[in-house]
Amino acid sequence: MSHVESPIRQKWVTNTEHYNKITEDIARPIESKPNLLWLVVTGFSGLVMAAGFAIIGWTIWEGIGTWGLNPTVGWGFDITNFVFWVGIGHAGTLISAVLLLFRQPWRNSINRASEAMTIFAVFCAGLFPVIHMGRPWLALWFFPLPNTRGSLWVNFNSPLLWDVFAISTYLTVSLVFWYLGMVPDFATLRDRLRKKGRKFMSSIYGFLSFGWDGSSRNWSRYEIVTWVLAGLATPLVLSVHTIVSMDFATSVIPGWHTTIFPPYFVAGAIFSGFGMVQTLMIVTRKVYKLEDYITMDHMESIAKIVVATGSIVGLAYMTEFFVAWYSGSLWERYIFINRAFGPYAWAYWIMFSCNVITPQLFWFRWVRRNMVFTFILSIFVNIGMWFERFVIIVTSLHRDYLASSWATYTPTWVEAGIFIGTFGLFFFLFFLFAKFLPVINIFEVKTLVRHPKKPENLGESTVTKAIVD
Amino acid sequence: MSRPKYWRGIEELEQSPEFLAQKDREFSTDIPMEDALSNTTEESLGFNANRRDFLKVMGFGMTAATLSACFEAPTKKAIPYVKKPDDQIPGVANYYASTTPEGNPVLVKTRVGRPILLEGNPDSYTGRNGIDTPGHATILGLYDEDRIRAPHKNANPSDWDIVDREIANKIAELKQTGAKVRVLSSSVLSPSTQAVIDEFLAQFEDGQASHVMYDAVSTSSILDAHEATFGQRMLPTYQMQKAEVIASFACDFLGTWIAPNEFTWKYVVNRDAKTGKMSRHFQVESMLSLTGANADIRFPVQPSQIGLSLLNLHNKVARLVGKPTLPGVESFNVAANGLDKIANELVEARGKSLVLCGINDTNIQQVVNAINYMLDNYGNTVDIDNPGLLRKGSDTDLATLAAELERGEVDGLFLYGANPVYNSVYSDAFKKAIPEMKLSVSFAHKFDETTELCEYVCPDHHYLESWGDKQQATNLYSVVQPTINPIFNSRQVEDSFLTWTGNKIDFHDYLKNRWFSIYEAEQEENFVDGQAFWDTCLRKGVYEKEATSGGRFSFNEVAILEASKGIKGPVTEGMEIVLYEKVAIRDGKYGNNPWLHELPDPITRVAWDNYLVVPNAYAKENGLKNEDIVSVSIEGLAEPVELPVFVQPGLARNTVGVALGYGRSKNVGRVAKVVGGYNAFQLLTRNGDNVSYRRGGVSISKTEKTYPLALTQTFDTLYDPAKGEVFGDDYDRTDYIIRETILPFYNGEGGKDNPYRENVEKWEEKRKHLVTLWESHFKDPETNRNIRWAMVIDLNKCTGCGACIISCHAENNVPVVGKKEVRDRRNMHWLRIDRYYSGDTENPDVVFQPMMCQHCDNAPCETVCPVLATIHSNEGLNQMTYNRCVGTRYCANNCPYKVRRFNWFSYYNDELFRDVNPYQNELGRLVLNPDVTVRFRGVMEKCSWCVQRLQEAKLKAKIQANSSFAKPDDKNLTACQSACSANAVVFGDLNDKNSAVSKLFYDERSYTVLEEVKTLPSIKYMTKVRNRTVEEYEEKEAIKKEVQNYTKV
Repeated sequence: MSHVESPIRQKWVTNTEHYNKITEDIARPIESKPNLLWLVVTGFSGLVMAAGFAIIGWTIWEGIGTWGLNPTVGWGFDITNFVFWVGIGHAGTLISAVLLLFRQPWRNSINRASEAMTIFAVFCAGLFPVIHMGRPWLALWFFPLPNTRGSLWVNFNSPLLWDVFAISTYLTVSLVFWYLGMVPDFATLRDRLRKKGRKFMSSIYGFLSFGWDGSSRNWSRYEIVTWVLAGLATPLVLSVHTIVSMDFATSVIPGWHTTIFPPYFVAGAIFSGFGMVQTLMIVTRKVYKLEDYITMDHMESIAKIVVATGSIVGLAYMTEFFVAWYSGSLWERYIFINRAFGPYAWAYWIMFSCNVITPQLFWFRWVRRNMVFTFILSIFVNIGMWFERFVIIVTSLHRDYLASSWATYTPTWVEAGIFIGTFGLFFFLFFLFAKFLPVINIFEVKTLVRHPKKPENLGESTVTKAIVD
Repeated sequence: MSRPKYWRGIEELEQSPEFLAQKDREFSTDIPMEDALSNTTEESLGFNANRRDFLKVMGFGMTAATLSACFEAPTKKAIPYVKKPDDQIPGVANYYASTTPEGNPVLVKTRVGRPILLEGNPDSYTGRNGIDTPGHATILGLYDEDRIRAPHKNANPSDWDIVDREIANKIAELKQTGAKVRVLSSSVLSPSTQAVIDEFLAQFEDGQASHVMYDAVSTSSILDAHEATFGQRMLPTYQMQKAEVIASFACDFLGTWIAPNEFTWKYVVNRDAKTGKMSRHFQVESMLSLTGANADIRFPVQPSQIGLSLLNLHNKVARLVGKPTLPGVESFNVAANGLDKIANELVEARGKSLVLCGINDTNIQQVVNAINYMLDNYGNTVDIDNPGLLRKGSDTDLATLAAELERGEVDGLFLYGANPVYNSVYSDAFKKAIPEMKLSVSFAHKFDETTELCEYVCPDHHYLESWGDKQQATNLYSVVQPTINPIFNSRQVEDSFLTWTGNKIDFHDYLKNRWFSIYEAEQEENFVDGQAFWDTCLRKGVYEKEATSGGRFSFNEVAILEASKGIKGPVTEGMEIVLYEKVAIRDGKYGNNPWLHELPDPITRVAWDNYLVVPNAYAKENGLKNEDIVSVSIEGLAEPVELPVFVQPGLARNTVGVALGYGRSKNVGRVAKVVGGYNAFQLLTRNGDNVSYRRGGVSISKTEKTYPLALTQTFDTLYDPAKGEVFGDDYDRTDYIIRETILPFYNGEGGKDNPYRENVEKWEEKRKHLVTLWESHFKDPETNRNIRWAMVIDLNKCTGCGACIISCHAENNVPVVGKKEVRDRRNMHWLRIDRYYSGDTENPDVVFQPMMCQHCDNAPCETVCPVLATIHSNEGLNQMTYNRCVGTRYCANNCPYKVRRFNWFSYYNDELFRDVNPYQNELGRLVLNPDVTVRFRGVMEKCSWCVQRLQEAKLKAKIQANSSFAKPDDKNLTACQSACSANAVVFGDLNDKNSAVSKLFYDERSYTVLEEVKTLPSIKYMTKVRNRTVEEYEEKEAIKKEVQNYTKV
């Protein structure tokens, strides 16, 4: 055929003999009518999302007082959730950009969904910095816009401002990257839907496809832009969570004021992101019957990354303790002892067991290949990583310097409601994505198929043409 | 060239017939004037108005407009002066001298005719450094929405004419029947008011009418004891400033007793470690009072043992000075040989010592007099040549009145500043008798427990609306003058009495005449006439004469023998209860004042409630913890009382306590209603005629119920021994926050083992290594002509009273947030007083530390604000720009001192805070300082060092000196500084080498809190120095070690 492949090259697509099957499999959910299950879950998550927004409305109407914060613990669920969602986003970019640069072909099956996950997670994350403000209607002031308010400008010393730049850059690049990757698939859908006579849908995908025609010129440009964007996105994988970690690292609060935070946060972010990828992929490949494209080998690779990053995070936890002892700073020592044995010890140990202990099971091959186990462990990772942020934020604040100000923090229903609401938002968007956009990159998966056969019903078509189909 | 022909449309160009027909008409259709004016509606074109309707509508419209114009439109009185009064400059405050009802001379700051802040009158003797904690809050009482707004008859609003006529008739009736008439009041401090009352009573027949005075928290026994021992009923003036040794027995003279602000400055004068003028202060008490917390040596003893302790002290002192001892005294000592130590030191400082006792028992007070007499303290530290006049109440008189009430003899009762149904031991007698009287009149501001029962309520003015005078001691007078027009339809009580006496004179003139007579009597030569004398006194606020001395009083030795027999021995069995006053709430008179309720008790740090304080040991034995409700049954009390528990270190064994002043009637006001609590006055007993504030026979049983308490500080010690084990002993970080030492160490005694010197050296060594990234913040003071503000707080002087917090409340429009929010730790105080314990729970050492924004030079809050809402001024202030704040709370998180306060809700208009926040009603808003913004929801706020006051002072100085580099005087710059009776807060310009603050700032005793964090605060604290010997120190250290070892296991 067109190219020769080594027989020992790993098979990333199974049971697929020709390209058309891929197109059919992936386009099926988009072209068919929504089933009951989809309607129910989308409707439900939509309701949860709406409730979440209603509660956000209540917060903005009544004030941050509706939350459980106090002057000692000024951040609680809000920033915990922010860091949690930003962290989740990281896996998508890592998969789509870094693994592309490192030429890991298995990423082709999962990059689309992971990138979608990234974008939706960043949406959720972006909500919190806005609503955690006492006066969210002034969020505009976070941007260095020339203004008529005298010489008022933003404070470039503040890590919160760096966050604004980091997150908005990240969102923009991710969105562009994601969208660009879908252009050839939009063209495929456009052509297929036009053939089926569904003009309206076809015209929408046609609009989105930017007039893609599958020409060599198109492909050439596409490849160049993809690589450029991947190059741009790669440093973002590191920079975003580094900057988020600086919210804490540049402060003077013991437990926050730590130089280990940037690498520790990045590792944690990738860890949590891959945990979420596992959760989503296990469900998606099952429901959409995409086991041939997201194979057991894929899931195993993801599990390997989880155990690797989980161990980095574990090492970071222990390093923190070592440094606290080694620094000789009593405040530092106290805060870490208090973390592990103080009033929030339960949160610490949930974090520690979910992030460090349970992922170690992924050393076993049968665990990595057992989807039930993997699913449970991935949920643990999500829980553990949420608690990591909670532990860092709340336990450091609640007993900082002056004992007279020590306080405890108990979240209210409002905060819990907003958190659950963001899950509603995330899944609502993800379900819409799963219905209306190709969850797997059609044309990239095709490059993984070994020795594709010419399907009988396609007559004269060439390989190139088949890819476009 | 011909001009072009312009046309507007094709019609015009074509000159169509329609166009030609239409072109000369002004309107395209005819105006239906004919139809409109015709009477037939059918003919009209599309609208139904005809001429008649038109006229009707027009007629109605004009009439309506005319009528509505006849009503007076509601006017908002915010009109600028057309002709400005000379003394009113918008934006500039006027100060008037006046006096609070408790006799504190004050300066009232008014802005555009409304009083907004009280400060101590610097020209006065008693209030020179400041006023007491509740005194600051009295200004809010002026704007209390729940004040009685008009005279009432049978709880219905009435008219002064009607009330006056009816009362006059009833008085005439009473005169005829000859029934007893009584005026019942708290101590009347005003000689003029006393004269008015006397004049009023004089119209009755001899013996028919009399004036009874009593104080809710009585000190009658001191006056009675002096009558017994010196033959004259009087309250001595105590001179703590002359005392080298003070032994105080259950006397909270720094917190609640008689005149705390006066005693505070007198006490603190003698607490200066630097000059070595440091008094030794022993405190023997059952509760942990504010005074006990400041004492050098404190002995907790049970309430019933205090009398016995004093008897033993008497005999020990007598033996030492060679006077006869009292016979039959059971031997007793506090803490092995505590009384011997006290006796020795008292005798050593003979003539310069002082024994005080806060127990209201005439016998005990006589023994106190005897001790002071033996020690030659009379004429030195106890002045009876110029007796104090702040307390005049007599328990005996009250008892007599109660007996008369029981017998139904009293038919006319006038209540002035008295609320006997609530706060007297004879509550039931009053409750029963008042409704049956022919005439019962109350002059109260509020419908309190007694006023509810009275037939007539003739509301008195608030003192800020009144004329008057006060006499604090025989040589000290002060003036009360109105600072605002009466807000409501109230009338000064003196005017009421004068009216009913038939004296037509206005009380203002009456007062002036009396002062003219003072002028004549005193033969003041510096004034041309009485008017000049009066004017000067009015402006200055006080008239003070030199204290006289040399009066001879003979001491009655026989009385003491009698008295000593009357002192009961210790109650050996069962628990005892103490009814004590809180620093802010006191006797509950200001029970509707939210500022006072929001102020956490300095010791317990609980706001908004009273509760049963229980010793730690007892709580441990019986499984009690904070907020448990216990049922307290007391011998002689019909029903057990249910009270929430607060476990308090430092209480004597078997002693519990409950604060007075709570459980007010719902009618007192909306704040009193939400506070609730238990009225502990119900537990008062009588000991002879004396009202007793302690009681035995208490038993406590735990219930399953709990009650939330608004604790503002839950963690009292940094040392967490349970976890100390992990990292060893040096786990204690208190050094970074609190520093204290003892006098010998401070003075360099102790050689190599001197921990204080060691510490100072250690910190000096560390300081050498401090470098800064912000050199520009530290300009050379030699060349710098700017101001650099700084503050020094002397922990040795701060007594923890909290007056500064209330003053800050008033100055900076700090919102009140109520119990629930305080419980959630969201109190908005810009300034708080942290309280730390050390040592064992039986008798801990206490340190108070006022904590507010430290105005750090390397402020962690400033770097993290994304929108530059908090920035550094070139004068060293950390400034908060509310308008710019978006509320990320990052600054608060990053503040090591946790002094930033966030507006979680719209405190100024949220329904949740309707009852507690006075700024939510139009009247309460008048107390707001117009120089300070009321903060919006979602905005961070914090101590600004009263930047508005600094600005004002700077401008004033510049104008006066006609120089842009002139610097203001460093007196009374911040509200906390001006409020501090102890002068513990020193504030000023650090760049001025001669300023008080720059001298203290670099004193070896000064340190910054959390120096290691390198925030470089502009506030320094001065190490607390306790006057203890090295042996006492080591003893205490051994206990502390023991505690640590004990809790570690």
